[in-house]
Amino acid sequence: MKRIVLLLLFCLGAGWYNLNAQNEKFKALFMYNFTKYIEWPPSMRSGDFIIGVLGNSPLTPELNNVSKTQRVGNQKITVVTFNSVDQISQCHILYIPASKSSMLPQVNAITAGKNILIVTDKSGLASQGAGLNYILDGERLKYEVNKSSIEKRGLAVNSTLISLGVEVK
Amino acid sequence: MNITENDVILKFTLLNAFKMKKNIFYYLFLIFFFYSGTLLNGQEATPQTQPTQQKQLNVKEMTKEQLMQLNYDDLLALSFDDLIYVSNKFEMSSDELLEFFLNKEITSASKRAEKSINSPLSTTVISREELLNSGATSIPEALRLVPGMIVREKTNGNYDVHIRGNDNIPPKGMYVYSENSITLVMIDGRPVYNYSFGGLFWESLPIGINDVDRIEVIRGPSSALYGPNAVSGAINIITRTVEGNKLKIDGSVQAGNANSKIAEVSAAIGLGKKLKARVSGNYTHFDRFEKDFYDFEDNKYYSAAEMDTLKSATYGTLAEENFSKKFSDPSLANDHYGANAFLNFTQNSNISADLAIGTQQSEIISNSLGNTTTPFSGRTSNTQYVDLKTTVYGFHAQANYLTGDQFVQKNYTGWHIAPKVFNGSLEYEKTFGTLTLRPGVSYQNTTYDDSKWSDASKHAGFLNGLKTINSYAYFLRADYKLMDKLRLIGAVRADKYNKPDKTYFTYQFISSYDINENNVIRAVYSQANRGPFISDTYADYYWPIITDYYTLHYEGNQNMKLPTMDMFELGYRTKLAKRVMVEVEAFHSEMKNIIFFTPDAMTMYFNLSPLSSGGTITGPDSIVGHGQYQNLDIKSIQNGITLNVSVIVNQKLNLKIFGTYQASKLKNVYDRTIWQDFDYLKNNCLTQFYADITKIKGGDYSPLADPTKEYSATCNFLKDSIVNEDNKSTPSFYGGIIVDYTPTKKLNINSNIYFYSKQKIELGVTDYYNSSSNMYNIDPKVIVNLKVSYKIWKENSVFFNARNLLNDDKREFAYMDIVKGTYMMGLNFSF
Repeated sequence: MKRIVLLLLFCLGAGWYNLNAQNEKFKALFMYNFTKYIEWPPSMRSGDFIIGVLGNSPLTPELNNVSKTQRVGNQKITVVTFNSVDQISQCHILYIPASKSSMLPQVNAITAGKNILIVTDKSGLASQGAGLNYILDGERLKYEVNKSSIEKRGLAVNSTLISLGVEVK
Repeated sequence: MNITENDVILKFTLLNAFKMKKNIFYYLFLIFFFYSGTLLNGQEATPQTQPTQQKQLNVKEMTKEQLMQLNYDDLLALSFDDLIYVSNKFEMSSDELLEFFLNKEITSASKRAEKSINSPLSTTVISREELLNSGATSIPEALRLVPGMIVREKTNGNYDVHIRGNDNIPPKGMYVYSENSITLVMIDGRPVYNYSFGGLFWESLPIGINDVDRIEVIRGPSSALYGPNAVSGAINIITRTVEGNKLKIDGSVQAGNANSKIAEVSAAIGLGKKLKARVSGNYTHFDRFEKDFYDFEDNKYYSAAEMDTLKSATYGTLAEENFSKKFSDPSLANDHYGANAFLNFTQNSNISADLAIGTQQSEIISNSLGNTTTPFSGRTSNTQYVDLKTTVYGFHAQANYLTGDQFVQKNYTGWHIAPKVFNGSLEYEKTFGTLTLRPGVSYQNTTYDDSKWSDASKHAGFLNGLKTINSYAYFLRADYKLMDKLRLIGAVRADKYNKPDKTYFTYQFISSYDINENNVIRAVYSQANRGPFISDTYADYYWPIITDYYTLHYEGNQNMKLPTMDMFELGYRTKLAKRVMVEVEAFHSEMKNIIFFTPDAMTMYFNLSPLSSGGTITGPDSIVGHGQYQNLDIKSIQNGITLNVSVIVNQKLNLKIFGTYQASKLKNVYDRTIWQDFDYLKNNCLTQFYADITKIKGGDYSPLADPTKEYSATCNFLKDSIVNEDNKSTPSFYGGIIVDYTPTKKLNINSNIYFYSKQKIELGVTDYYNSSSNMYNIDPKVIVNLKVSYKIWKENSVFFNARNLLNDDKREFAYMDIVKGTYMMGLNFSF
């Protein structure tokens, strides 16, 4: 009986982790879809499409999976990890994992004027300069979209993307 | 598979299979399966993981199971809108997970759909998925997944099922009193109950596991909702509905040791927008785990061959004990097959009709019901049914009819009967704001006829002709929600029976309070009664214990009170955390007016004339005893508590732990067997005879004036034999654990464990054979079941199914077989 209880506890832990992993898979799929509804300026439509991730995140391997088979237009997708805000270089999308949310003001400062879509992962950040923000409604994955934040960075956003998400001003 | 191929296979198998005998059906079934298997192989050319350019996935029309089948590439190819839709379904938020697994919809408790947490009675729902994952080999075995159930296997595949106890009352009776006669079992609301001696012949259900959509179990008296016999509870087996228009064929085959075989197939199709049809067939076979037979007379086990030699008489009463006539196949435990057809017509959400017809044929070896030299007897059943339900706006009508032939104790005169059962009901539901009223009427007519097989002039049968029990009932249920939190329910039902010629009222009063969205507390008071049985009411049987010498007149009683149970229950349900549901029920029940056959008179006939010429008399010329069914003073009082904890660990793992602890007491038990009473009567008569002999020896020849003498004696419950005791036949602790783990989309591992504590069963039959003790001990037992199944292609899977994995072969029922482990391999197919 004791062994069964231990096994169950182990499964509980493993399962808990697993459920969250499910979320990351869909976040990556969502992000891939974001690219279909956002236009970067012509100068950025050649070469690799770069998705930057600030720090370590379980989203990175999922993004890598997407990058193996998918393209944005003609551009091959590359996933790059920036270990600190200082290391942030040229990219199309910059993802800030939940644990790094406090860095958003610095990121905004460093990337000012650049054509980068900032995607965050914590409630409330869409009104603080992020263009798109993942949120959980119960455990349903959704996203907030801030049109003016996106357009301020010289990107065009299709209204469909706004209608499928939660608009934040 | 396209329609034309299916058409051919369907016609080939179904039309032929159901016409042929069961063995041929089974082999045909296998041929069908392998034939279709080769077709499936041909289709492997288009594997599941092909990029989706060629098919446009219409996700909004897909079922959850189909969505689970989507691979990563499929998801990448979806439009964003569809992806969001799928992610919501796929993710299954905690709330949805809980709703899906824990808070299932239930219809039986209130007769309309509601969430389990709000169910006003102690209820449990086993979903189809839980049923299939558990590997249960039959519906009674599946009840081990439900809290509050005591399930014991008698012989391989034959089970005794009791809800919350009340086993073997009164003790020291015949086997029939160990049967459960106070739970109503229904299929889609149609009672499937045996009104001859009470109880349920599980092997006579026409449906199989594959026909089940869910099983709803209500614990506690529910006659106010369902009529008589729903005393300890009600079990409603709800059959599957057809989804979609595409032809769907599914089923399974499995086989293992002890010659165990189970085969089921179902074919369903939608015809246009309104009509849906499904046909199904099922076949089960189990051999006994033991070869030998226990003999009460000699108090030892004999092989079948020895029994055949020892019990081979072909005349007189002993002819009934003729071994080879009782058991055509002594190694058989359970063999049954059934076929059903279901039709559903849905005009709109307010108008629908369901028609079901079917047939079954079964033969088992399990415990006998009466006094027999060996505790086993054979039982055959061959019945057909038709059931029609319609809903037209608020009106719900149901009518069904069953007919057939049942040889309840094979080779024993009087136990072969032809039942004809009709049930009709009409209910109307109307809601006024927060008040819902549901009035209704119902009529039931049951006839049992043994004239075909018993010589009525000799009173050779129990019934000696056609006997009828019928009743009509009026009922009303009111369901009122006060201030959105307090729910008050009252239900009253009046059943007027032809025999006894009385009206019985049963009722249910429930108050249920939503402390908040996650906590519900309820209090229930209900009273229910068992209906009359044909044998209790109409028996008129002259039992030739010794032909032409010792006869017992076994008489029914048309004026008895019906067994009644009162129950008070407190229940509490809480969603402790998002993924945890805890249910507690504490119950107190009292049952009275229990019916039992009681000896009350005896007459011995002597001819004293040999004494006048100096001869001797060795004994009476004949003896006639008399007994009649009567109400006993005995009361069964039970206090118990059931705890049920369900945990959804995540989408892959869920577990359930449940247990019941109860104290079962009996008051005013008459602590003698009928044989002790008949012995008492015999001695009383003989004492009068000896008094006359003494007179004659002493020179007083007055007794010889009229040499034909009748010495009579009566008795009526020898008062010094009344005791109060525990009901040792009901275990004080029983329950189970279920672990269901789906580590990958293709693999499912389910282990379900069932356990009960010790019991002692007293049977009076051993007294007939002058056994030293009536008491039989059943040891505590833990039964571990395991099913591992792996999907090889879409919804088709192979599986390993072990019942009693650890092969703990302790007997579970008095004098019945050891119960070993059953290990089977099988295939589930679905396309």
